[in-house]
Amino acid sequence: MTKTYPLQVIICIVATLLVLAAPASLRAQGQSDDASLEFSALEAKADEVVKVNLWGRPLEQAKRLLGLRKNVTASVRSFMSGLTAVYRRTYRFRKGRASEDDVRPVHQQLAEDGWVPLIEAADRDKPQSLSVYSYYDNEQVAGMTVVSTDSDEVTVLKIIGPVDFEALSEIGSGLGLPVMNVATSEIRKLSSQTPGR
Amino acid sequence: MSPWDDSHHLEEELRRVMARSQVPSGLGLRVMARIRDEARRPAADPLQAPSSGKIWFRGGRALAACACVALLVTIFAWPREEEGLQAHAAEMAEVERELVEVLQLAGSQWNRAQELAFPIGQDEDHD
Repeated sequence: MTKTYPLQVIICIVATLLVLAAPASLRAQGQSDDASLEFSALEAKADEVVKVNLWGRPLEQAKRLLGLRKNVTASVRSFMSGLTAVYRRTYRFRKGRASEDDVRPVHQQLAEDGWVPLIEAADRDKPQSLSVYSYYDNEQVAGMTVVSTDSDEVTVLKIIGPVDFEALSEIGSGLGLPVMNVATSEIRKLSSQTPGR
Repeated sequence: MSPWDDSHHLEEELRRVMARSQVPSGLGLRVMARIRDEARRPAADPLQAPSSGKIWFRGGRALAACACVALLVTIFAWPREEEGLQAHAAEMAEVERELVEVLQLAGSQWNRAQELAFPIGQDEDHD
């Protein structure tokens, strides 16, 4: 004789499974929650902390707004449409600077989350390093993380979604996006640091 | 002409109309009795509050109250709604700015990483 379960029991079981499966699914996609982007050692030492968490509805609205603007090229528009989350952590230091021990947890966390180092560059003479990580899902780049260490700043940028590196390069060259009065000092600083420019 | 005279005049008129038409006499009598009752009722004191029986006046008061409430709501809610819309627009502009900032930073870092990893001079030497 087949035992029948009431509908409420079935709904409860399905809901519980969904709740349990959701974080695992996010983890599998390399998508970080805020907790995996909290670096207490850096935060405790920093004089200024910038945190940006963009995902869900605000990100969708921002993408839609940006898509309506002129000067957004088709490749950048396509790249942006695939983004599911964007995170930024910047730790600025007025006195002193972040040590290697302070930055190591960042790299460890990324490795634990399945991020693969793509480019790692460090200057022996200067306290500068730059690491680019990527995340693969079904052999396709499903995310990108940049960790840059400077004499007075550590920045972690995490982009979740299919990454079009050509479009990203276009954006980095100041093309493909409308001219907005943003990040000018930081971009200028980066440009001056880049050799051969 | 007093209301009493007026009612008499009306009664006469009604009687003539009823005589010409085929209206049932019972209905005519009831209407005449009503006219008489109305004429005998003491006139309302203009200084006192108007009779609650005046439905048009009650409706007018209700309309005036509604208009006042609507006006107050408009006066107080409009600026707040405008403030809310402005705040939302500012918030959205901020989110858009943050997105552009992160993408530009990531793009710049990516270009820098490429240049560090694959220096242009080295490529030229290979060529």
